[in-house]
Formats: sequence, C-alpha cells, structure tokens
Amino acid sequence: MAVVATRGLTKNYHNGGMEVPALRGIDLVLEEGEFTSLAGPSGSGKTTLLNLLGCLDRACDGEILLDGIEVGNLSTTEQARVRREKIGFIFQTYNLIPVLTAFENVELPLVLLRRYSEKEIKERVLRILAEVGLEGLEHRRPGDLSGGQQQRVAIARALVKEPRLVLADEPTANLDSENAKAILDLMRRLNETRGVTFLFSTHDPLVMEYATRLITLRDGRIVKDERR
Amino acid sequence: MSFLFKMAWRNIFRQRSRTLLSLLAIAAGVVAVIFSKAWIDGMMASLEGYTIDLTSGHVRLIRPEYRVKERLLSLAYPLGEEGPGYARLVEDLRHLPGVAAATGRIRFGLLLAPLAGEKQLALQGVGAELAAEDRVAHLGRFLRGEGEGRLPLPGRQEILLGKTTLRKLGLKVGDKVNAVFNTSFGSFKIATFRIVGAIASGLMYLDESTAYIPLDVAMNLLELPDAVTEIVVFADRMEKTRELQQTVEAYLRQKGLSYTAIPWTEHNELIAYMEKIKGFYSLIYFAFMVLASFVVFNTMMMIVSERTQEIGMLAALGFAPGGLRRLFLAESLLVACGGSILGVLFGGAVNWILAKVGFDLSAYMETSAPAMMLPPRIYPSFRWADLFFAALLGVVVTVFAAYLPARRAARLHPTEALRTI
Amino acid sequence: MFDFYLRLAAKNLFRHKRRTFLTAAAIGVGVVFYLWLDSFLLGFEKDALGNILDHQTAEVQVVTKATVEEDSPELKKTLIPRGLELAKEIALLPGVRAVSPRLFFPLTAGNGLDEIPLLGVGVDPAAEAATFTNARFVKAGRWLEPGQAEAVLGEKVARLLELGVGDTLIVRTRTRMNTVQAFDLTIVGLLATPNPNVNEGWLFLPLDFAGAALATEGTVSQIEVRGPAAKEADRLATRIKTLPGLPPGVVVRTWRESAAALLAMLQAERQYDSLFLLLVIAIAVIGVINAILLASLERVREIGMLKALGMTERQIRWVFVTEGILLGGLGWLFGALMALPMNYWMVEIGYDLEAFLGEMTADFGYAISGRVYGVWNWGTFLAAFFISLLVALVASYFPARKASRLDPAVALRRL
Ligand SMILES: Nc1ncnc2c1ncn2[C@@H]1O[C@H](COP(=O)(O)OP(=O)(O)O)[C@@H](O)[C@H]1O
Ligand SMILES: [Mg+2]
Repeated sequence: MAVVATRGLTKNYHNGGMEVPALRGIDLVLEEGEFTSLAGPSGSGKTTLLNLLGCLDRACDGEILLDGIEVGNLSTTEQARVRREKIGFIFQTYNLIPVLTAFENVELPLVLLRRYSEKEIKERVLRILAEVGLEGLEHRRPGDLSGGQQQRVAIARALVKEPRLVLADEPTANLDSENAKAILDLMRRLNETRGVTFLFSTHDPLVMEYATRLITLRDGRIVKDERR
Repeated sequence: MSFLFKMAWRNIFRQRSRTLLSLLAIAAGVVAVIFSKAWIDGMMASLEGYTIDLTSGHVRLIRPEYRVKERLLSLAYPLGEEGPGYARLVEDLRHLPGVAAATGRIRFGLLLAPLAGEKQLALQGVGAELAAEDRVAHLGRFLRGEGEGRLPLPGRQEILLGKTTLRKLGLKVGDKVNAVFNTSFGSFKIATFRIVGAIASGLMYLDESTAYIPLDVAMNLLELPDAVTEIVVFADRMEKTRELQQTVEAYLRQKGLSYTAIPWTEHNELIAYMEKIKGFYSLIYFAFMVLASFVVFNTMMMIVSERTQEIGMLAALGFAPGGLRRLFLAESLLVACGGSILGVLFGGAVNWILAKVGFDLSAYMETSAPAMMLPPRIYPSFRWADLFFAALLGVVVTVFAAYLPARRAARLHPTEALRTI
Repeated sequence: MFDFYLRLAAKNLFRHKRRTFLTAAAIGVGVVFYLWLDSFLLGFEKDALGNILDHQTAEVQVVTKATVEEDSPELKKTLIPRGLELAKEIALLPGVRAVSPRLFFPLTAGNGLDEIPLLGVGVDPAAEAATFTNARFVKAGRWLEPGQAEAVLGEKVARLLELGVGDTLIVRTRTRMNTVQAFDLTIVGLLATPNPNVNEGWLFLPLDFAGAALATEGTVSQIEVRGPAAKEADRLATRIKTLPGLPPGVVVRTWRESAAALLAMLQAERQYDSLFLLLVIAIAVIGVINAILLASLERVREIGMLKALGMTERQIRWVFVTEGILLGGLGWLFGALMALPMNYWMVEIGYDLEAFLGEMTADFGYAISGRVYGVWNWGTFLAAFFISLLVALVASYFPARKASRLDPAVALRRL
C-alpha cells in the first residue's frame, strides 16, 4: 500500500483579499521506502505541499490518504495525533528546542507517544544519536552545536519514533556543501537501512542527485515526475 | 507531565532578568495583600473585640425603648422589673444551648469627687458581676503592668476606676471617693466607695470614662432590686452570633418577654459600617494582585511571540493545542509559585514583626471618643491562614493572567508559526 | 534630538498597545489613588478646620495656663481674671473683627427624670453671634437674649431629653466656690450646626446669667478673637500678648495650637494612607521596569543596527529612558482622566459621612457632620505629573542601561 496518496490537492491562500493559488490539483502517490526529491523554483508550492502532507495545514480541495486513511478532515487535535505517530519533520532552520539537550530533543517525540518505558526510550535515543554520528554530544544544548550537528539532531528527532513518512523542507539550505553532502548521505543511509519513506524539498541540484525519484513543481502543478 | 515541567522550568531561566521581574511583581502583589489584610484585620479585630467584650456582647438584651435613651444612661427601662427577675433571667440564659456566658449590667450616670477638694468628673458607672465580666473581657489583664489593685468584690462598696480618671481626680488605689448619682426614682444620692483597682488599658472607654462597681451594690443604691439595664450574652465564637440571637429570641418569645436581642454587628454605626465594607476590602486585595499580574501578562505575551517558531515545531512534533497551553501555564505556574513564596517569606516576616511591634495610633486618641474603642496601638493580625490566602491569590491571579497568552500560543497556526521570514 | 527620541519612543509604545496600556494603567491607578486621597484629606481638613474655626475656636484664643496644661482643672483655675474687661481691650486692637468672651463649665441638664452631662457655654449673645456662626444655625426658636434664664442647645440632645422650644431644662452645676447650684432654664432655640461637637456637647446660655449663677465676677474662661484671616493669627496673637493689661497666668494661642489634636490626627491619617500608596507605587515601578526590559529584549536587532549606525550607548539609553518617561506621562494621563470625574463627584456631591457613621461622627473626633466634600487642587495634579515622570524615569534607567550595553550577538543567541 502507498504511504501517501493524494488526489486533486488544491490550496489557495488569501492575501489581502486576493486569492493566491499555491497548489492547483496535485495527484501524488509515494510508495514505501521511496527517497523522493521535490524540486522547483521558489514559490512553486513545495512547502505548501509538505505542510499539507504533514497535517500541519488543511487543503482547500482534494484528498490525502496516509496509509490509506483519509486525513484531510481531521480536527486540530486529531491532526496533532497523526503528526505525533506517523510523521517526522526536518526543517531548514533545524528548529530544535533550545532549552533541551540533544538527547532530550530526540527523546521528546517518544515521550509524547507514551508508548515506551524510560529504559526503552533511552536505548532508542542513544542508538539513533550514534547512528547520526553524535556520540558524546548527547548533553549539549543546540546553542553549543554547529549547524551540521544541529541538523543531525533534527534528523535523529524525526526518525527516532520510526515514522511512516519523513518530510524535510530544504534540509540543507542553511549548510555549506560539505555538510550538506554529509547530511544527504546520512538521510540516504537511513532510508536504506530503515526503509523509511522520505520526501524532501530542495532547489539545490546537488541534492536532487541523491533522490530515487524526482518530482518537479511549477506554479502549484507537478510538471515532471521521474524515477531513477 | 514531568517533561512539561522540565521544559517550563528551563524556559524560566532563558531570560533571568525578565523572570526576576515577574517574580518581584508577584511578590510585591502578595506582600501588598498580606500587609493590607493584616492591617485591616488587626484594626477590625481590635475594634470589634473590645466592643464585644466591654459593651455589646455577642448579643445584648435590652428593652426596646432603651435603645434611643442609652446616651442618657436612663434607669427607666430595666430588665427584670416585670416577668422573671434578673437572677432567674440570667440563669435561664446561661442554660440555653450555645450560650457560653451571660451577665447583666446596670449603666448609670455618675459624678465622682474626692472627699476633699473641688474636682469632679462625670463618668459612666457600670454595676456588673465582675467575676463574670472578667471571664468574658479579661479585665484582670488591665490591672497588671501600669494598672494595679483588684476587681471589686460583691457586696462591698468598692469601685474600679481607670488610670486617667484617678490622675484627673488626684487619687490612688486605696483612697476613698464620693459618687453622686440619681436613683431609678430620680432621687439624688451620694455614696462613698473605696478604690480597689486602677485599669490601664490604653482604651479611653476604660481608662477615663467608666467606673465599675459590684452589681448587687448597684442594685441596692440605685433602687433597682433584681433588675439591670441590659444583659450581654456570649457564644463561644463570634461567628455563632446569628444562631445565638435566634436562640435568645426563641427564649424571649416562649417567656412572652418583649425585650430585644441586638447582635454585636448592629451595636453601633461604626461596627455596622465596618461590617458593610468588609467585602469592599477583599476587592482591594484583588486589585493589588491584578495590578501586579499585568507584568506577568506582558511578559508571557512577549514570550509567546518570541517563541513562535518553537511553538510551531512543538506542534509539528505532535503537541496538541491543549498541550501547548499547558506548557505555558506550567511556566506561569512555576513563576507564580516562586513569586508567591518569595512574597510570603518577605511579607510574612515583616508582618510577623509588625504584629509584635504594632502601629502607633496615639495621634487619633486625643480627638476620638470613648465609644470608638480605639487602643493607642494597633497590632496587625498575623495568621498563617492569611499568608496562605495571599499566596493562593498570587498563584491564581497570575495563572489567570497567563491564560490569555497561553491560549494564544495554543491557537497559533502551525504553518504560520513555522514560517521563516 | 530629543524630538527624535520622543517620536521614536511614541512609535515603539504604539507598537505594543496592550503592554503600554497595562503598564500605564498600573501607574494610572497609583495616580488616581494619590489624587483621590489628597482631595479627600484636603477637603476633610478644610471642612474640619472650617467647622472648628466657625463654631468652636476662633483664630486666636486666650485661656489660662491650667486650661492648657491640666487634664480637667477645677473651675476656678480656668477663669481669666478681669476677663470681661480684657475682652473689651482686645476688641480695640487693630485687625480684630470680633471678640467673644466665653464661660465654660460642666453641668448636667435634665428633664426631671433623665439627665445628661453637657458643657455649659456662657456667651454674650451679640458678641458670640459676631464671632461665630452658631447663632445662624438655630433650627427652631431663636438665639439667646442677654440677662435671661434661657438656653440654646443641640436639636438631637433636646430630642433625647424629649424637650422642645419653650420647655424647661433643669441644670445642676457647681459655683466658683464649689457649692452645688441648680437652676431652671427655658429652652429658646434648638441648634443644628455642621459641627457635631457643638451640637452634641454644648449648651449655650447668656454670660451675664451664668456669671451670676456661678459667681464668676467678671471673669471668663476663654476669650475668642476673630482676626482678619487665619494666616495672620500669629501677628494678632503677638499683639495681644504685649497688651499691658494682660493678667499673669494666661496663655494666648492661635487656632493651630487649639486644633493641634485634629491636625495631628490628619497628619497621622495621611501617613497611614501613604503606606498603601507606596505599595501601589512599588507595583507600578516593577511594571515600568518590566516594560522597558521587554522592549529592549525584543529589539536587540534594532539596538545592534542603531549601534551600527553610530549611536553611542548613551544615546541608546536615552531611547529607552524616553520610552519610560512617556509611559509615566501616559500613566499620569490615564490617572488624571479617571480622577477628574471622581473628583468632580467628590467636590459636587460629596461623601456622606453621616450615612455611614450616623450619629457617631462626633465620636470619631471629626468636627464634621453630614457630607464631606473634596477640593480641586491643581497643584496636586501637577505634582502627580512630575512624580509619575520621575518614578518612570528612575524605573526605566536601569533596564535602559542594560539595553544599551547588550551585545546583540550574545543576546540573540539566548532567545
Ligand atoms: N501564508 C501564506 N499566505 C499567502 N500566500 C502564501 C502563504 N504561504 C505561501 N504563500 C504563497 O503560496 C505560494 C507557494 O509558496 P511555498 O509553498 O512557500 O513555495 P516554495 O516552498 O516552493 O518556495 C507562493 O506564491 C507564496 O507566496
Ligand atoms: Mg519553501
């Protein structure tokens, strides 16, 4: 079964009385384990699409099936539950919680799930932190980490709960090319070892090279969809 | 939940100066509440306490006509003249349920003059069962320290005067004094009393305007056999005044007596006024706290706008609106508790000292009258319950003030919150 | 330059309307409290002193030493030798408008059944009426006439004794020789003055009649001198003190001394109320500090930019202090706007003391019965303005200094 399936997804913003169409009918299916890149110029609707898929926002029209379940009409609280259980987010600006240590930032999604014992949580967090290469830095706060390190924490945080879908909005835009490469290597490796479905937006050609599937947006429409 | 408080706790330390001000504001509010409450309660307790003990009792029984004639210290409306006599009446009252004490008084106009010399003073004479008076009003405490002597004994022509009265008359304990008065039949009489005690209470009422003599002696001299001008009845606590009044009224009905039972709350206009404005004072405490909570409100508002991105991320991680609200409320709760504790520690300590030292009110003494029952020093009350009340008010008002900012955080739209400029 | 700061500060305050409003409101509450208190106490003072000056004691008073020093001196010690003559001499002094010799003595007044102790006041009816306004407050009957066995007393006291105009009052007292003296007086007038002390404690009777009954022989216990104005009481007192005919053992004092107890009480009242005011101010100060601190924290970027533009720390400090001062001004404005209608009400309609305290007003020692009115005191409004600005300036100085020293690079990291 497809992890994500959308049909006729439409989103308009209202900007001072004017309707700004951001998405104009997106039909998209993401299969399990795909490592998909969402390309397109600035303003083409990448962030909007990710937000809709991540249940952070509501579409104006069309439907979204996550794991075959319609999530388009959920209440705010139900949306929050879906995000909690199924989706991992990675952002351009990392968005770590500054008062929490690396360990606690990664721990937070598991605490929210209330499914694991304290011991299990600790094991999982330490394992994933080691996997993203942050061994020994668990007790640092975000302010004491470099950009690359912060994004690794963010990746660990997105993946620790083994989500069905990881959405990454321009994850490398704030990093230099060396760090960007390392992060992409890491995401690709996690995608392969854990089989997690990734969808990341970018307009960096380097990033697109890593993708197994490349979708191109323009003016809120999918103009190209190629698998490699 | 513990994670919520862990985050809230750490958030508090993000801007220490800001948190410190919130703590100070809450503490200042709590201190203001503690002080004003202690001061007002101390004043009220003093005023009410003395009025109840010395004049009104919890409930006072008189003839209805007496009320308008009280100032004249008239003897024309005694209790016990018709129906059961005083001895019977007071005995019955003492056995009513809820009655802790009951005793009669004859209040009469009196001129005191030394045996030699020209001085003379007009006072209020009170014929009283002094042993009973001592039990309810603890008159004995005023005979220690500056005061001296003892209470007059029944059957003896002895008199208890105030320190100031004695000074004015140039007399001392052990001396004799002439008392001039009118009997209940209007005939003029002079009697000589031995001064056995001097009261030093600081109250004008006791120290310079009242003279106590034994009740039986008063009945004899004033020609009021087995009758008094009033009976005061006490419950074990002043809060039970209403029930006491009802009990006494039921008794009067049953006996077919047309006396009125006046609760202390209606004893005079001042007391009635104080009772009326008690609720208004609570409003003042509340206003102090609300003013202080503005600081917390402003700060929380800023915190929410400052942490917009973070709120968005928490939402992305699956925090539901309720959880976000709770996160900010937890933060304000911690600050509220901290500030309240600070306020209670400081306010409580100063309150404790003030309650020992008291406030000097002697400036009021010269101009006020005996009926005021104003002592020269007012001791603010010190009660643990009040400290707790102030702290609770601090916490509740602060958390309420934080509610709006917290709700704003919860209502932030995740995509809006996450948007980078 | 200051103009620039002012505009910048105003804009910044406007950016956070709610915060500005709440902070200014806290200052405003303090201002209202201060203005209201001042109006109330000043009005009170004015009424109380006015009532004393109009009904009880005039600007300058001559009494004996014993009257001043002893608690309750014997009658003979309170008598000024040659008092009546002295009163006439004083009346001739420049600046004296009226003189009223008075004879005070304790008495009990009765109706044959009940009696009440009162203070007898023997007065020359015409002189008393020229010196005090009591004669104008006769509500029933008429004022005294000399030489008659008649009395004017408070309406309420008469009602208590169930007596009215034309009824006979039985008076008992003692003469100068301490012999018991009893006489009857006909009530000719009932008083209802604004001064409860007079209404409830005094019984006026003609001085010549009282002097004969008490055998005081030309002596009186007080000479009340009405001067040109309260302010010139001291000069008048000095003039009386230097009179050659002044008998030994008398004291000449101004109303400030004779009303000292009342003045002391008002002073104490003002102090206790200031304690509450202080608490409000403390809270307002914390509010201002907080507002400036928040403003500086939120504008670290802006501070960095201003520094980049070449502003000195001192100038940046001024940016924030100006904001604080403006807050103070705004707080004052709020307070003054709230105080205006409140004070209007206090001045025009007043506060009915009697409605709350009934007949106990005299027991409070307030020489006021009925309503208390506020006063318009623009000086206090002005004072409140400067105090608000000053408090806000002091309160904003430290957070402003902190802001000017903020290193934007460090500050931004911590947010
Ligand atoms: N909150 C918003 N209000 C109004 N218009 C918006 C909003 N968010 C996005 N848009 C508009 O929607 C379009 C798509 O934006 P976005 O999804 O952010 O594009 P991308 O991420 O590809 O740069 C743009 O034209 C943008 O201006
Ligand atoms: Mg985008």
